[in-house]
Amino acid sequence: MTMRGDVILFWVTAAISVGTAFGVVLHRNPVRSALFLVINFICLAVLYLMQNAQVLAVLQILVYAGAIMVLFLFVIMLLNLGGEMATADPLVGQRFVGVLLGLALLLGIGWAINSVGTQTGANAVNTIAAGRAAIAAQQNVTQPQLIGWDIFTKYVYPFELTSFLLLVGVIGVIILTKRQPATVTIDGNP
Amino acid sequence: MAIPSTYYLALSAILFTIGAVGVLTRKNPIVIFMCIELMLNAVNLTFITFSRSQGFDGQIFALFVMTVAAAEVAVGLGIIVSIFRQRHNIDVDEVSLLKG
Repeated sequence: MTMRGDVILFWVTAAISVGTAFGVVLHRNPVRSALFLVINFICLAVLYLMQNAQVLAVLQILVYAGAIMVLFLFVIMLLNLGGEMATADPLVGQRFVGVLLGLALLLGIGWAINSVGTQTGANAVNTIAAGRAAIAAQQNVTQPQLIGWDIFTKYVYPFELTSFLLLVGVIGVIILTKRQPATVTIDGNP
Repeated sequence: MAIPSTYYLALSAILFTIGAVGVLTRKNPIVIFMCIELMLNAVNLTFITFSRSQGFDGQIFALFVMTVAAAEVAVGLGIIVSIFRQRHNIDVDEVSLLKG
């Protein structure tokens, strides 16, 4: 079998994403971890694009690599944290048990994927999806239009709920990080 | 449609596991948050992989996961900043008492 472009792209992206994920977990310096995480998000956006999810790929770059990681880096640099100090560990064997539990989790998910693959055939193309794609191609409707249609019809209440959730998040952050009035007058800067 | 869905699912499982191990072993809460983001992204990859064969619902779920992640990061980092103001140390082993 000859190596095609998409196969090579998949393996390269998968290798980079796994490597950067290890970098996030293993690196002592949180700034480096954050930068590894940015690369990981970009790799995932490439994987989304390879699976025909263009909207999500763009949102991944904008929301995750753009907004969320800037917030992370901002807080890391605001708090000016160094690496973790190698002090005595109050939880004995935390690393060992953590890795062990992780391996158990991986085995469990692997078993689930295996059973899904054999039972319902995850690789089989669903006829409904194929039919919708065919209709969309016929009527010259693009995929973002279909997703927007679904959001504002089938999922309109969850969509409105997310706006409420974001509002609650904004109010919560303001209340959490607001300085007390007394300290404002002493410091002189809000 | 060349690469089977199973490969994407396996990659997602590996990324999720790495994130989970990070949450279990790291002590810096900011890094723990990043590992949670890693796990959420792995779940998004699974959603999008299934939306390839099952319609657009998976992609819309992934969109909701992104908004929830954004709100969660904002609130979580706010909590970390306010803990840092009180204690000047955010190591999760040090901040293990539910006392102000």
